[in-house]
Amino acid sequence: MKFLHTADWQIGMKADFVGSAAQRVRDERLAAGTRVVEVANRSKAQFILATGDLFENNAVDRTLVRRVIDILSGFQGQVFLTPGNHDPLAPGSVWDHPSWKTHPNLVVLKEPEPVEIPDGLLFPCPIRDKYARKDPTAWIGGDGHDLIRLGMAHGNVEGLPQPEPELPIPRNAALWADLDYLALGHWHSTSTYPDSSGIVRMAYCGTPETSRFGERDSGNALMVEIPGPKAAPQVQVVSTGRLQWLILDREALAPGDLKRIRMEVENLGDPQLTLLDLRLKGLLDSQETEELSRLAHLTESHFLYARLDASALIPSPEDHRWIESLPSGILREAAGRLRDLSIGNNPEAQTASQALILLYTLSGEVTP
Amino acid sequence: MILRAITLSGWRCYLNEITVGEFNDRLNVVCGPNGIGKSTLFEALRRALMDSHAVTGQDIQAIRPWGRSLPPRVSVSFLHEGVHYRVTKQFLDDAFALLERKENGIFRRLAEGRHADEQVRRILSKNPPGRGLSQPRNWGLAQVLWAPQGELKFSDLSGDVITDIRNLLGVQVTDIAAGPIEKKILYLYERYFTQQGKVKTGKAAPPLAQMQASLDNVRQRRAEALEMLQRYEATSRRVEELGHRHRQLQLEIAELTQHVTEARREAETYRKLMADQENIRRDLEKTEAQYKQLNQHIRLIQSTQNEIRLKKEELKSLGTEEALKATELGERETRLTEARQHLDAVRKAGDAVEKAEHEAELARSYRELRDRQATVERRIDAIRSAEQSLDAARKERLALLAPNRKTLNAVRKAIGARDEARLLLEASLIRLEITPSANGVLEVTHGEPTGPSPLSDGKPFIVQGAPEVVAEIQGVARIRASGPTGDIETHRRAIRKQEQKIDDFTQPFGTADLVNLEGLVERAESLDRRLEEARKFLEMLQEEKDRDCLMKDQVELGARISNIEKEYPAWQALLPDYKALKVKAGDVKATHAMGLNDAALSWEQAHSAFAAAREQLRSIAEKAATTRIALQKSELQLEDLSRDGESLQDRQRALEKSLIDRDAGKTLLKRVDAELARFPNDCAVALANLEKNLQALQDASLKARDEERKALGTLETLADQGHYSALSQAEEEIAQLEETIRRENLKMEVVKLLFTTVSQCKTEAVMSVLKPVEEAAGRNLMRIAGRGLGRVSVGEGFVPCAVCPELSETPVDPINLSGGEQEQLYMVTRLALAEVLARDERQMAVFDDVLTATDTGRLARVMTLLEEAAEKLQLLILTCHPERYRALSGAAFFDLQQISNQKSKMEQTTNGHE
Repeated sequence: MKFLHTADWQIGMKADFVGSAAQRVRDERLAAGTRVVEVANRSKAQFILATGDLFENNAVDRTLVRRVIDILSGFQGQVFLTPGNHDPLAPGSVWDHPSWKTHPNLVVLKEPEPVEIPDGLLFPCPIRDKYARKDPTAWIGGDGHDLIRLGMAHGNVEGLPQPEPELPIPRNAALWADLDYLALGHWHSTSTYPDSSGIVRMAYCGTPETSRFGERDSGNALMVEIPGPKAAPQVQVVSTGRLQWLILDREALAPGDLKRIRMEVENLGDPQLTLLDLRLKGLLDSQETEELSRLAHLTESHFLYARLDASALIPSPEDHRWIESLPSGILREAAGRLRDLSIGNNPEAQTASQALILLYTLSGEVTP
Repeated sequence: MILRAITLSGWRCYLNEITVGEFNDRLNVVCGPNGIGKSTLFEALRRALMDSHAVTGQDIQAIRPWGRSLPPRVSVSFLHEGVHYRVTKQFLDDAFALLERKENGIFRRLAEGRHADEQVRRILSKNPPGRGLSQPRNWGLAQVLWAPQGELKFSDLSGDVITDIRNLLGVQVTDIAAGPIEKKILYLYERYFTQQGKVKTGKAAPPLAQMQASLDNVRQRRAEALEMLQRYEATSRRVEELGHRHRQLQLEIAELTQHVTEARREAETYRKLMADQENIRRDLEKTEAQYKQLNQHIRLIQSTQNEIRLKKEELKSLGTEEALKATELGERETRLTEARQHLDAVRKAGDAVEKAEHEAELARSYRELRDRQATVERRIDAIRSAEQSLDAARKERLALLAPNRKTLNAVRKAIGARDEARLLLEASLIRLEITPSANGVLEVTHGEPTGPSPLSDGKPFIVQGAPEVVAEIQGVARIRASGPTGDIETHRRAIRKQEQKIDDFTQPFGTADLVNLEGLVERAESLDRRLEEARKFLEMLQEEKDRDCLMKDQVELGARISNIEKEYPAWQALLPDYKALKVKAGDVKATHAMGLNDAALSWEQAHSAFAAAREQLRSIAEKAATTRIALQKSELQLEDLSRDGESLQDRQRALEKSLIDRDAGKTLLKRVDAELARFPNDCAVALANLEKNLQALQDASLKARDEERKALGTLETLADQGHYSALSQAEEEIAQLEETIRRENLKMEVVKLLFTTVSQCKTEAVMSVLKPVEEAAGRNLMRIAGRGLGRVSVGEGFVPCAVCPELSETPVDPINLSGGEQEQLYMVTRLALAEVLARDERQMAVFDDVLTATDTGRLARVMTLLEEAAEKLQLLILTCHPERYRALSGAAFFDLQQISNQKSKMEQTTNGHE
């Protein structure tokens, strides 16, 4: 038996931290879904298991629902879907859309009861209540032991680094329910849970497209092959994501560092597929303000989305040119005061840094 | 700049050429009467140094002498930075300007025309006017140094002067290169903020305002989308709830339907049993009624028969009793008659009691009358005695002749007046006392005693008289004594008059002695009191009844007593003991009452017995009659009951049968009741309730279904609208806008911080520059005016803006100072600034007719300051009061009047020669 395990497409997800790139980010998620189906078709998977959170919310635009249905209907086999905590089975949910019924290969599993599949039994655990504190896999009984038993669940496996009380799934759920493989959804990072003998029978496939900065191991689906009942599943990670979410923490300590950083940024991958969070800290030499401007311009214009935080970059206290390059008199006095204020890690210090840089910049504009 | 000389002609009052100078480097006083042209001189100086020679207009036309066509011309010779210049300008007609510089002792042309104008201005001012006559703000340093007439006060120094002052003070406030940068900072600042530091609004508002407005709009959209999303979620929950409810109702309906079916079965069984019970009860009632009736009939016959028998026996018994009772009645009647007779006898014996009581009462009354009689007689005697006392007192009083108090006071008064007159007489008499040392004869010719009187050795002899006493001792002396004249005759008349009065008053009483008179008065008063007391006593005795009434009472009492004594004559001699008589009467009464009581009781008993016997007899007769009637009635009833001809045994047999039927019916009923007892309630009622509940559930289910469908419709509509996506979009926009606003805010904060920091530094720099000027001005002001005005506060433009007296918490605006103090304030400030300006080169300061309001005392101190200032400044003072400045040490005086006169003489001499 060979199938593709996917989940957490989060179609319609809000991207309120990527500025004007939000729509593009959302569109890429749909594109990732298309790639999932393509991979499944290419790999000749028998079916697809989509374990919840296909949609970000039950009230997403219905055109998105139709688009997802269209994408999934492109698969050659059956697609088994279970609702997750973001799209639970509630009245008016996305699962009530009439288009689901127009594609017979799309099976929305709404009841916790076994479903026969070729050479196997499927035990779906659809979510009705997003805040349920009950183990969704608890109902799975001991029928059909001569078939490959697959589970589909959505929730929190015990032992996660940030535990949530809702939808708890025991660490040994696959063993307890006598499943050959338990397909999990909810967490966006790909994670596998080998049992005591090292066999992976439980796994989070992760989201097919990375959804935020700092998300580890996402942008994947899992291709699973199980030779037979009780056999060890072979789980292969398949990359489906395209966007690159990069966080760069860089420090400038000496002249030339900013240039080096700029060049690094320029050499990053396809800028139109890159979202960059660039954080600078350190000391700014007076001669480097131009470089800083260039870096700012680069981040503003070059990437799909980029954010430059130079608030921790302060004018170098040892660089006297900050002061001396200014006309004597009150401007130097003012510059000295701003430099003194810029020392510290608080909003006032950052404002003072920026003021000093501005003063220096204005002086440079005027002074030939 | 140091002025050397000024020459002008054709200038207002100066028709001919006049030269004033050579001025010395220190103190110069140009004086002259009003109208001589002092201020004109100053004006010419300014025009020569500041104005263009080609200027036109009414102002320049005005300096031409009245009624003349002379071209105004001025020439000023001055030193600047060690170089000697001379500028000559002619205005209006053939206007020209010539600047010369002394080279090797000779003035050589340096510039002409407008070049000369410009060069001169550049020397003295950095801010030449564009056109027209210069205003003070174009004078450069002269704004401070030159005080026009009446304009010691100054304001709004031009920027270049301020800069010069600051530069001279050695403080580099700002490099010249900073200007453009400051301008840029200001430009940036003004893009966002007003001059007051507030964010601009309206059309001039920075982009932030628009961003904020956009943010508000998007927030509104977000709120609306959120509301719709919440409505969607709420509707979804509602649909779910309604679905649950509908399903739940369906389950309840199914369960209840079963209960209803069962209940219907039970109800049918119950209904049948109830019907059977009803039938059996009806039959049983019928049987019971029949039995009752038979039983009642039989019992009635039996009781009637029994009753007849009893009635007959009773009648017999009553007859016997009646006869006995009649005999008893006769006996009782006899006894009653006897008792009545006895009672009458006892009653007749009651007269003796009355008689005894009457005697006792009469005795009491007699005693009382006798007592009253004695009282009346005593009262009458007392009245008689009081009358006698009163008569005696009256007689005694009438016999006494005494004055009253008023007369006595008059006598006292007369005696007093007499004595006073005597004293006056005494005082007015001349008293001569002669004590001879030998016997002789004194012949008194004036005085008393008049005539010869013998003198005895050693025995004083007194002669009195008025107005003089003249006496002669023959052969020895003639003595004449005189004294203050007094009218002794008046006094003597007065004495006589008073003595007459006294005599008149006292004559009836036989004494004029005051003491005796007082005794008479007291005695008379005592007798009057006694008389009054006797009168009052008599009144009191007759208060209740007068003597006549009492006597009348006496007569009446005597008559009543006589009447009683007629009935009981022995009482006259011996008073009766009415208490004993009363006791005796009581005994008689008691005895009689007891007898009467017994007789009455006996009679009552006899009467009661008789009445009882009579009543019993009557009762027996009545009872017999009643029994006869009852007997008759019973016999009729028996006849009626036996009319059907059945015997009593037949009736008994029918009764037994009826009893058996009744018992059977009861048993059957009991069985049916037992069956009905199985059912706890009325099943029909329970069934009705269940059917009602079922109907209600069905209605509720339909309603829930309809509501669910309706809610589902709403939900589908809401779901189709995709509110989450709208919300997401709005939140994305909000995040973007907030980030932009944050950046914009940061930019504004940065600009603001930069601007305020630069401004602060500038202010502090300026303030540090102002301090030396303030201190210098303050010191000099204190020297002039004392400590009262305190410290001087100077604004950024070096204009005095306040004084800070020690006693005042707030600074005082110069406008609140007196005219003189204002003059002094501005004078010291000008001098302080002038000293700064003269730091590198000696400068000329001009004061045209200033300090007019300053008093002499302070003026003297000002002179001291001027002398000190002259160490660094060339002072040119224009005044019409030269005497005020005479004390200035080393001052050169230029009397314009004298200069003019000298000039005129010279011209006359020259013309004369010609």
